Amino acid sequence: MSDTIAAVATPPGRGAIAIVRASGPAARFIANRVFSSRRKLRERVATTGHVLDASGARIDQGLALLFLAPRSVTGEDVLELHVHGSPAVSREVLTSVLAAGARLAGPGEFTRRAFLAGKMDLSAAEAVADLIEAEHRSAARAAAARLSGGLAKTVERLRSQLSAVLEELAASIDFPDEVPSPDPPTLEQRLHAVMQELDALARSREHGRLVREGVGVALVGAPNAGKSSLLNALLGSERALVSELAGTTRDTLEETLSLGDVVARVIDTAGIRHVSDGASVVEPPSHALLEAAGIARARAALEQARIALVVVDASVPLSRDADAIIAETRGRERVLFYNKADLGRIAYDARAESERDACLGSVFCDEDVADVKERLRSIAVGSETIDVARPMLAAGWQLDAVLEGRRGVSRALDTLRAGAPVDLTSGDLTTAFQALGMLSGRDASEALLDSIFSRFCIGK
Amino acid sequence: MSRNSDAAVIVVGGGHAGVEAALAAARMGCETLVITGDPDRICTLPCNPSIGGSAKGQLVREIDALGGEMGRLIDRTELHVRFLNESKGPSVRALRAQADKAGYARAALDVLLAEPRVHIASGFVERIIVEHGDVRAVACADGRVFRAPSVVLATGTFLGGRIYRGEFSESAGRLGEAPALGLADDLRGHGFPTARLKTGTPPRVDRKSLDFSVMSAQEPSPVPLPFSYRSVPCFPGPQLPCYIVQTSEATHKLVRDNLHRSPLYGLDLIRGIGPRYCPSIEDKVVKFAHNPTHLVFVEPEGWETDSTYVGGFSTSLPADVQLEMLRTLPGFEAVQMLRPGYAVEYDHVPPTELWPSFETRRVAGLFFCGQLNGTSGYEEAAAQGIVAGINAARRVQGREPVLFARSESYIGVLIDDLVTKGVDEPYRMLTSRAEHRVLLRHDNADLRLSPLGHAIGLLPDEDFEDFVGRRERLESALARARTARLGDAAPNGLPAWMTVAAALRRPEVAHTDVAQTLGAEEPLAERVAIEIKLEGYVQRQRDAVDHASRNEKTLLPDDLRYNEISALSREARDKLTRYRPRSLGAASRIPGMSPADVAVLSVIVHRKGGARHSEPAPA
Repeated sequence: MSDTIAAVATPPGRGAIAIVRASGPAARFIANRVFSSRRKLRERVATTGHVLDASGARIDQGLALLFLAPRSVTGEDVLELHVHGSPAVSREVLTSVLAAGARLAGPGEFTRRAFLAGKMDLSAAEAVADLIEAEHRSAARAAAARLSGGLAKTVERLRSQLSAVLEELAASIDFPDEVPSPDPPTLEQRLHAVMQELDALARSREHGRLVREGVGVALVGAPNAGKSSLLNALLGSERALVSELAGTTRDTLEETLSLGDVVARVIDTAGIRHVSDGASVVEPPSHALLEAAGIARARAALEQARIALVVVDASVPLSRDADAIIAETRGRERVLFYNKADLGRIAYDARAESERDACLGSVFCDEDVADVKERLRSIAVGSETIDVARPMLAAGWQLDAVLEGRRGVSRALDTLRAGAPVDLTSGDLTTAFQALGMLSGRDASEALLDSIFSRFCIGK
Repeated sequence: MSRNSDAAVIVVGGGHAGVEAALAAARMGCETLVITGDPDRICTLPCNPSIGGSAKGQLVREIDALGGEMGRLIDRTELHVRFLNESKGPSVRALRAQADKAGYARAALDVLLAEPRVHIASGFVERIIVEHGDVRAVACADGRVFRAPSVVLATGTFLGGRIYRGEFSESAGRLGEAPALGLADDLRGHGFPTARLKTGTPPRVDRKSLDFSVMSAQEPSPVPLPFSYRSVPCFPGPQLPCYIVQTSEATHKLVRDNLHRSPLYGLDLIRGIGPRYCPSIEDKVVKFAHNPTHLVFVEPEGWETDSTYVGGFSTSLPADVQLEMLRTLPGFEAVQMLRPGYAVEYDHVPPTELWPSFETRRVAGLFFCGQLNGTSGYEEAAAQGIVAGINAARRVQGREPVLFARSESYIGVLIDDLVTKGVDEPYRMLTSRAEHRVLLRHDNADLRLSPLGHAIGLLPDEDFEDFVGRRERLESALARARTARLGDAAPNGLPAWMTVAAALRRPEVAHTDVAQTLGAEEPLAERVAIEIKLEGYVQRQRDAVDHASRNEKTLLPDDLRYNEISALSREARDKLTRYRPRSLGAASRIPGMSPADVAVLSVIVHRKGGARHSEPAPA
């Protein structure tokens, strides 16, 4: 029985196109789950459509290619999804593929499967083996380096707390005459404390990602609401530092904006490029065109971003476009900015109950612009400040390990809270212990017994 | 049997390993010769007078489910039995019984004598005769030679055995019994490495000299609790309490003041490694100096003897010091010591010399089991004995060896730990060694192993039919539990429409609460309850086993030259060459193997023209 593995197959960073590849028996099933197209997927035929997330919402437009066993690079069923080459998009697509039943491929795993399927020259075997080893060792080195600071200490501390519980359980089971059984309420407290720390670690992954990749902000609004002015004002003196990443997406422009400790990637629907005719038009298109396409574009931008930055003209009554865009962003993380306060506030004053989160101001007022920035930052990071020196999870697999550890501890807590016998927690706690061991690169099994014998005087 | 053989299987040694090996081989149809130094000392319990305990009790159940004898022997001779860990969960519940030592040994001899294909010879085996890599015969010290195609060595602590007490030391397998010195040299001559291990036993005292009124009693179970699925539940004789007392500073001071007379400490005579889970009182006092007291267990050794075992008090201090130390214990003021404790050091062969069938890698047809393999404990010995006996017989019959998976039995865990990791102290089975222990329970040993025991001709037809009936009753009761509603008999205010199964999933509902609705008798109702209560945990564990099974089924060719695989780390090359794991799964459990090494190995194996995949044990 083989499982299905998945990974981003293109090099990390920004390219025009990213390929997310899944290989294994579930590839076809995953294709049906994450890819919607008008035409049915056929073997070896590129099909256009949309990649969907776990809830069925569209992540991106793209191509899907299906290769059926044995006619594929790994000899298994293989699904390739070609999507826009932004890290955010490929990450979302991979997440969706994983949610549909694949697991993250280990180092060299595609290569290894390819070899096992006889898709590679036999004489390459040693080379493959070397490759696997090199990949593993460098991954391990990288992991060790990342873990060298506070994270390693935190993980080791949590592990030793779990280990202490497991030791006490094991000792009381194997030497019942000599070692008393741990008392369930105390166990529960100790495990609860571990779980809270794991939660904090899992959240730190979000911080780590924010620091590294930034937060996506979709700048949306009806024509002439002042989107470009706001963007320029936000960028202000940093303009020189901003890199224009043309070509990262086909219909939007990304600008990078510093929010202090994190970076926002502003997806600007104001500067829409028309690639159909080959010429770049940076000016907003005509009103008529926007009526047709404005909402759709805003929606596309919103799908790629976490935060919506909505600009509304406060000085005139709400237009249909503005109303639609406000409705579209209701209930999600957003900054709703009623612009042109220097000209009037009709729309602001007439806003609905559900738009109480709005702020009023003008792009020409530095304080108002700073306020927008602060709002963006506090949505992105929350009230805490990001302490870069604090342990942070740097990679997805680290988060996986923390979440697996958390799952184990949480199940053990369920067992205890249900009043079931204490030994039934050992399996889940062992899983958690091992998951954290993966994080710190330590093997657990032998250490546990050693520790038991050094802590308890047992035996008759 | 061919004219050139004296038996199909020869078993050297008559302890717990030897007896299970001999009975298994004989019951599977092989004429079996047991050679032992003293046929009157078959299956003695030379150390503690008990069978079972945490994890060990499960081993006894598994031996019984396969068709072995240990469970029935203790059921016929127990003078105190109870469940351990009852409150900690069904997965770790285990039986432990105190035995009438003399009765146990007598019962074992009776069973051996009653087995038509078992023959017993008295003698000291000194040499193994090997031709072209195959075992041919064994030669005794007196020159007699016995020939057989399969030979099982179960020599216990007798290989190079030496006992120590204070300044006194002598060459012996057990106190007063000659060791096997020649055999140890002979094995080394065949290329087997050996290493020293150490164990010990406490003093025995006269029950009549003790004042039990000041000790705290451990009462036995009021109802019979048989180890064997095949025993009728009844007490074989009066049930006796055990007692617990505690050491005091006076005891510890005596130990400290006399450490210079300890062969372990001051005299520094013993080099072998002792078991950490069974430390001597010297070790306890020295290594756990901060503990103000240690527990001492006072256990009767039989119905017809006054000899009493002083558990937790294993020592090799001189006899006069032992007596003084005993006198410091509450109720021991007038103690009469019948026999002082001592330490024994002996040779074992690293079990990494063995295939998982317990056949040696160096000599075909030669099997090792028991303490010879570096284990300790009667149950561990018996478990290895039955496996060695089965596979010795299968070899004679020209069949593939029977293998045991970690996920199916404690026996499988024991074998895998021994042959893939080796031992660095006497190996004792512990529940914490079994990662799948929620599957390896006291209650379900028959479901796990009786079909195998019967398929290989070990478990008799009538016992198997009983098992099949039991399994059918369990399955139909389980089906009933899932559909039957509680109705009027609903306990603890549970709704009448609730199914029995749903009720049982609640921790506070016991099998006794629903036994009536279920229409099941006591042992059956309890098994149903365990199956249902553990369902979720069992399923999670099975998923984990399935996930790992691919590596377990990928066999590594015997002729793989690990030293020539440059992509493997040096450590992996060395360890693989030394341990020669049978499967990729076993390789991955060798300490020091990295995931990269395992991946490399998997690539190499598949290059070798397709990996072989093991089949389940042939029926």
